[in-house]
Amino acid sequence: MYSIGPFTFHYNLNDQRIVYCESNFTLPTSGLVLLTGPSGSGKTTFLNLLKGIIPEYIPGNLEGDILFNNNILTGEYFEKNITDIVYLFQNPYSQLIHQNSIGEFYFSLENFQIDIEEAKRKKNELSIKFDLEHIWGTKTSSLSHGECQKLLLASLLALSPKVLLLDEPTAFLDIHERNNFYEMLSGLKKDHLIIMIDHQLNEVFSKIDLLITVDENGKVKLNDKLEIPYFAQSNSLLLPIVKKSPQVSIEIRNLKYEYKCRPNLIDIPTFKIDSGEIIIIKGRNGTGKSTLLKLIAGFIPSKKDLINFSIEGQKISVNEIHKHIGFIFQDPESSFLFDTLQEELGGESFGFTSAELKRSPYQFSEGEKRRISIYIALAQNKKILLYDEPTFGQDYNNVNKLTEIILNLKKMNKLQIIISHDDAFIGQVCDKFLLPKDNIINVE
Amino acid sequence: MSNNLSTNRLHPLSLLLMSIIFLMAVFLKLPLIKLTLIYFVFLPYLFQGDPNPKQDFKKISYISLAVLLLMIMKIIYAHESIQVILTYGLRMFFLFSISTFAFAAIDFDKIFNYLMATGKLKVNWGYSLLLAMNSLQLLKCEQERISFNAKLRQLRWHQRYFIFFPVLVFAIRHSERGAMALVTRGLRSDRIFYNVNYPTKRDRIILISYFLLTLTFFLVG
Repeated sequence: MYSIGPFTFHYNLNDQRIVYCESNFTLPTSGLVLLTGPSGSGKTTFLNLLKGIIPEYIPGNLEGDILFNNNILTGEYFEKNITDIVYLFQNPYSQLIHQNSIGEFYFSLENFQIDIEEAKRKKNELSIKFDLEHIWGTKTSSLSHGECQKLLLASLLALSPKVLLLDEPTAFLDIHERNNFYEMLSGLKKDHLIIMIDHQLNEVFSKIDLLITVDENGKVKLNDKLEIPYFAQSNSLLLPIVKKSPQVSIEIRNLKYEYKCRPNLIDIPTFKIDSGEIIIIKGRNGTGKSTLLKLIAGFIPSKKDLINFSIEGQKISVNEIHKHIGFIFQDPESSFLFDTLQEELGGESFGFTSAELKRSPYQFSEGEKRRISIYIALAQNKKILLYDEPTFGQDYNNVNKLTEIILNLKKMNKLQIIISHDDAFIGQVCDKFLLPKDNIINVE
Repeated sequence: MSNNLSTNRLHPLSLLLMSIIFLMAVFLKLPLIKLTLIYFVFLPYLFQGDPNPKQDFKKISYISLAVLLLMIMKIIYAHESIQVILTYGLRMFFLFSISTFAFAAIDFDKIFNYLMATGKLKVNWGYSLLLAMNSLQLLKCEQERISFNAKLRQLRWHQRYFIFFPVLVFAIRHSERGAMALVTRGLRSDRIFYNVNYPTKRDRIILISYFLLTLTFFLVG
């Protein structure tokens, strides 16, 4: 199995970010290992090293040993280990190859010339285990994140691997799906070694057998004790100084919305939101949360007078409303339009140094990218801020910083509407809920 | 394991080749009456396809409107005769409608699968192309998000042209992840294919007949 010796890895000699380990440790043949650490510390890099993708396909300098069954993971051994070590990447949609779900399941089995009868048997067995019966024959583009994740995992497990490497597999799942997923891992860990990156420490901790941490300096360590780790905050947060917003309100009246395949998706009789309030839209995947946020933002057009905006009692026309709305996308990179941070922030600095302002926004850590996407909206003095899963992919410290910013913006009279699955975060910021009832988004 | 398509349905590769023959006939200016005839010979086969392009009728109504406007402009500004303009308009309509219906009705997954299984296309190329085709929808969504963001940020009209670059960044990152998925899931040239749809004898007969019909129309009269 894995034998990890002292090693140092960096992408190139000029790169100051390194991932390293000072001691030797081995991993058992089965069990659930949690790999955790601050955002941007090098967890995914370490997982790539365990698969052998680095330096086989992604170039870099590795000094020292990472061995699997006493062999290195690159060259001919990369090919030999391909069915023994399987890897589920972070974004499931990026890994879809076929348009239909059956073709997607069979893809890995076809690669290794598994007999069709054996493949069918595995499909039936894993269908029951992963509750996939209903997705066979559907298009992969119509699958939810959770379904997509399960389909890919089933396809990989059909190869009967020894090791499962999972990079934030629960990031896109709601709490119900997350619990199901953890239960499923509890069953799998008896026969497999599962190494998983996850930020939902409170939920997963009771299920794990070992804990590996990668600290803010990139140091990899196998922990003796199973305790929720504490990572020092890399830098203190400078809260953005923003103008206090005038009184803004949004009034929703008889808002109904549906898709052909999903009737009665949203049905809100009346709902009023005022400045200084934080509204949480929460619910299972596929219940129309993102659709509602897009309707409010005008991303999806709605019928006239169903959503009304006013500033200081003056009604704002639909054509003008985009000037007052800032949208923080699930992937912060969707907010970046320019080459440098300075251009993105339109001349404001928000505590960044002049050297940082000259860097590309893509070069910042995940936590910083998330905060930059909020600062972009603040730089434009937006009065209404809409967030789609702002805590996605963020570690504990970054969620805390984000919470601090959002609560500070509440004091500045901003109207904030947030989609979130993160209960701890919701508990700290929420004023009102919009919840799905009988799978229809409604007021609570 | 072969898996032939149901009775009336043509193989997607046959549909693709028939579309190409039709488009060639449009570009090589086959007389209008003959073009109309091969249009209506081909259309029913497209509508037996899976997916069925019925949902694209709305697009066709927009195309018809655009063609009509162009015809009116030709009358007003180019002073062409009605007959010339009608010919011009109908040719455009045929061109756009067959392109739209064919794109909706042809299952490219099955075409690539067939070509790779029969060794006519290398698996590395075939799966890269499949991955690229599947990511078109994701790219479209990202482009919509970035355009919407540009609107919220009130970028000037000339700045909005540069949203091409963030979309390009997304495309590059997506292709890197897709390529990595192919490698880590073990793509290899000696792989087998469980479900391959092979063109049938009926496919060959219909395709050759359609080709010969079009060729005859060119050669005769």
